[in-house]
Amino acid sequence: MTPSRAERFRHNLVIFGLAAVFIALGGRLYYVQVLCHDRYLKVADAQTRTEFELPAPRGAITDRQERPLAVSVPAYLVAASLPDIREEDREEAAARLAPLLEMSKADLLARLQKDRQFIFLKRKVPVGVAREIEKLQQAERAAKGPRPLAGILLLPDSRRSYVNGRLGGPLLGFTDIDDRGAEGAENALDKVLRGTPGKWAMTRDGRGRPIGILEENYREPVAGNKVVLTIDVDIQRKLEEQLAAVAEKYTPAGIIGVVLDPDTGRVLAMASWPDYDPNSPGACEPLSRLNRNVCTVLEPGSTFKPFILATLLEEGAATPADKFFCENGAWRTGGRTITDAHGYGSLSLTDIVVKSSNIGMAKAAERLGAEKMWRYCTAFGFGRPTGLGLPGECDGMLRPPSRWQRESVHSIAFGHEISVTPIQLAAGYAALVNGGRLYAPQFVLRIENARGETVQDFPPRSLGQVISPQTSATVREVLAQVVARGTGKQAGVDEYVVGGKTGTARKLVNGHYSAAKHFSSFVGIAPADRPRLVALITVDEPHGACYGGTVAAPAVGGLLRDGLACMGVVPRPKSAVAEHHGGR
Amino acid sequence: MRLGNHEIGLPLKRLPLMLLIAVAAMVVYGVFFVNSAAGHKGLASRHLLWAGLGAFAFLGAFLVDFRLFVRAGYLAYAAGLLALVAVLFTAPVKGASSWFDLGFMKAQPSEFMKLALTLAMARFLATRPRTLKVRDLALALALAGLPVLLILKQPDMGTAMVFMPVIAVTVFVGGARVWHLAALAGSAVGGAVVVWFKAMHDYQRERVYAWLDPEPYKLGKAYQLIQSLIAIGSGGLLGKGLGAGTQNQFDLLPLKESDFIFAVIAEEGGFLAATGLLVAVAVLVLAGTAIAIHAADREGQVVAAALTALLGGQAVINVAVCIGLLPTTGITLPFVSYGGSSMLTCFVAAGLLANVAARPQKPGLFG
Repeated sequence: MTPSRAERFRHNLVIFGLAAVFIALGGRLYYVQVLCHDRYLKVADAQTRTEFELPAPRGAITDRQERPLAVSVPAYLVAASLPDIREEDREEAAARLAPLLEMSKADLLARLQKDRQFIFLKRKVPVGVAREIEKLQQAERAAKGPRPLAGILLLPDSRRSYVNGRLGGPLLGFTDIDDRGAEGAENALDKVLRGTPGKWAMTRDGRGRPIGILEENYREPVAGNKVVLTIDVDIQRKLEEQLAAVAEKYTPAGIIGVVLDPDTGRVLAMASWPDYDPNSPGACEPLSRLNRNVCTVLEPGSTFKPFILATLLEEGAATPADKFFCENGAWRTGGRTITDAHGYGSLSLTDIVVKSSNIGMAKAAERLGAEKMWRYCTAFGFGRPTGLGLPGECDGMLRPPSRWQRESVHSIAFGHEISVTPIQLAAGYAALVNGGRLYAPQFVLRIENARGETVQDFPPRSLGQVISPQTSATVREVLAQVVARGTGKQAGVDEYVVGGKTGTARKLVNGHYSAAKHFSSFVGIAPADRPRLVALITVDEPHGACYGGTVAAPAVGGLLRDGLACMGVVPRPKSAVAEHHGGR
Repeated sequence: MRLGNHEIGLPLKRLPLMLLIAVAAMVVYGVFFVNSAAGHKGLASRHLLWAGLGAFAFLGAFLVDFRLFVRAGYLAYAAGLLALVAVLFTAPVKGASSWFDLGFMKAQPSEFMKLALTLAMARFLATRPRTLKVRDLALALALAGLPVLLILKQPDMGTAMVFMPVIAVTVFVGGARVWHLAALAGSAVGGAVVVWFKAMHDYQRERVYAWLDPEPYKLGKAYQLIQSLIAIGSGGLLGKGLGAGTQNQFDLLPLKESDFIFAVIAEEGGFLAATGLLVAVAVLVLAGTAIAIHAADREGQVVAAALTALLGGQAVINVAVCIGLLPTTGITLPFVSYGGSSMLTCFVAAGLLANVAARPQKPGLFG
């Protein structure tokens, strides 16, 4: 049977139609599967793989004898794989977790009802709490009922623990939720302490459930370095005890205390009051987190007089025995009256410091002039940061002589018109008494890696010889006299010969010296003939007394005694004590 | 079969064999890849069971002269319509009232209607003049349109779409002129516009948007399409290997053992295996077309053409959905996808096709 023309046409129509359909299918398939293969392969890989960061343990912070101050301890990150918790079980899950995680049930439930596969519930959960959650999960499994906690995951995390509680809080600082150093030493040393995070990759199925771990993508985390501080826990504790006692007695606005090793500039103790517990930094007044040693700027007042004394001696402008007339307590000069707390007639330079005469010091400073005074102030490290390296350190204020007024020489001689930070003042005193060499204060002794090998040492950093050893010896002798028979008597202790200098500076309030608000300071050294410690305590706005010799000196004396005992420095023999007292 | 003056080189006497080879190839594809997609759910052995039952259904549809089935066409059609009306009163599953739950299996009356409509159309068209009058064409379309409307009511766009090539091919073979068909195509476009604005549900329209531009819908309406494209595209030329497709094994691909089994084939078997399946579909369509052309009478022609359009059309639409050429609709790949109801329908259709090929003359009951 030969098909008709019309029939052939209809056959061909069918053939061409079918050919068109299959060419379209094949062509599109070729396009998707062969031409776009690479692109789709990447997407396919990406959506089945999840990479996780493995947190690296943060390095520990220890004192100079490697006693721990801050350590990272294991903790857990509590998360939820939401597809594994049935909708109707979520309320129960929130109810069970709320007391354990110390979160509100409403907050937890809101998180559990998010339209996500995976969600963090709480980080840095202590190991004990994680164990509790595990127990609940096991009980659910055993009960074979509904399992609201089935999708709760416990992932490794770590938590910073400050083992001594409040001790050294403002110095150490704390870490934020991501384990980054937020303040203090934690912040200053963050790069060193932080490790290199590891990672692992996991394949997940379409519902986000884990399938397997990709071994080839695993990278071990590298723990952060350990930092050994110059701090001595024992001395730090003694310092904070003294600050607490002063705080109790004088209810001040704040107290600052620091102890240095004068031969190296290393900080042995550094404290601020009020302080806080870095284990819960959120629970305190922000002001209590200040490390006041570096960020308080104050006029040093009489504590500055020994620097002028040293300058006079070093320049040969005066000898300790040179006499100056002290105007019986009030000296009108340059349009103002300089006063002393007690009126004196003629005093030797030594006695000017011992009795803390502003008039005598101002007159003596006239022998130096602005240029020399400024040069020595600069050489002792004033007017610029010490380079300690803790965050928030201030410059202090020392104007160049070109901007000094006629009376500036007088003012600066007794510690006005110049501002310092407590750490600058303590470092300067170290140079005064250690034989004349200024060291940059340091709070880090060395850095060790996780295997205990030393990565970096921090040898003392000399900033130059400021005064001669002889001048330094004379200054030590004068400072010892201050405590033996002058304004600093209350710093005296039986066990060691203490030297030092008092300071009582009116606070500048809105540009005027306040009559009621003071910084009361004492900077002490001991033993006075060969100082092993320099200690400074400054009390901000004490109540009930204002003189540094009353408010701060006893605390410094006690601190020096306890500190030297901690260091095993042999006390002087009893007979020497008797002799000393006899000579008073 | 002729193309112009040239014979197409298919040995026509062996065509029923070609049909059997194509069907067997597709069943083998199904056994392997359903096992890979859902073996762990225990579906592989049930799939084999349905394929075995399908072979019996094939025999049942083959042994009795198809003309007897055609004679029962109107009866089957009426029963099918009744079932389609009844199913609308069942509780919706996943938003559609498409299934009767018979306990041991779920039956889809629309599957039965595919066959019933084919037989009814053959019955109707075989008695009309060789060249259709417009009135007869309209009657034929009304006959076909009624079940389609009922299926759209469920709603089940996918199955309704599968009826389109069947209707077009039956009226074409039944004697519609080319201009009839052109007019039909035109009114189909017009109808589509009306349906788009008047009859479609929002979610159905969204599916079309998601098909045209999948990216913004990748977690919603286009999730299936995108995951299917990722599976196919990442399979590449040679595939990831049987049982090694991440899209399949990690459950990223939805409905992978049924509607998207082609994506599994393409991911694990690559372009080669996917093309192989397309070739099997093409062989099935060519074999069916040849059977239709060489059928002894108009009943045979219409039945064979309609069943070829049913099987081929459904396969083409399914693959086109998987590769993004058509909007996502839930239909299975004949002989390959998991699903008892669909498997039985396909085997009965193939049995009837072979039946037509094997019965050139009007014989007796079991001739």
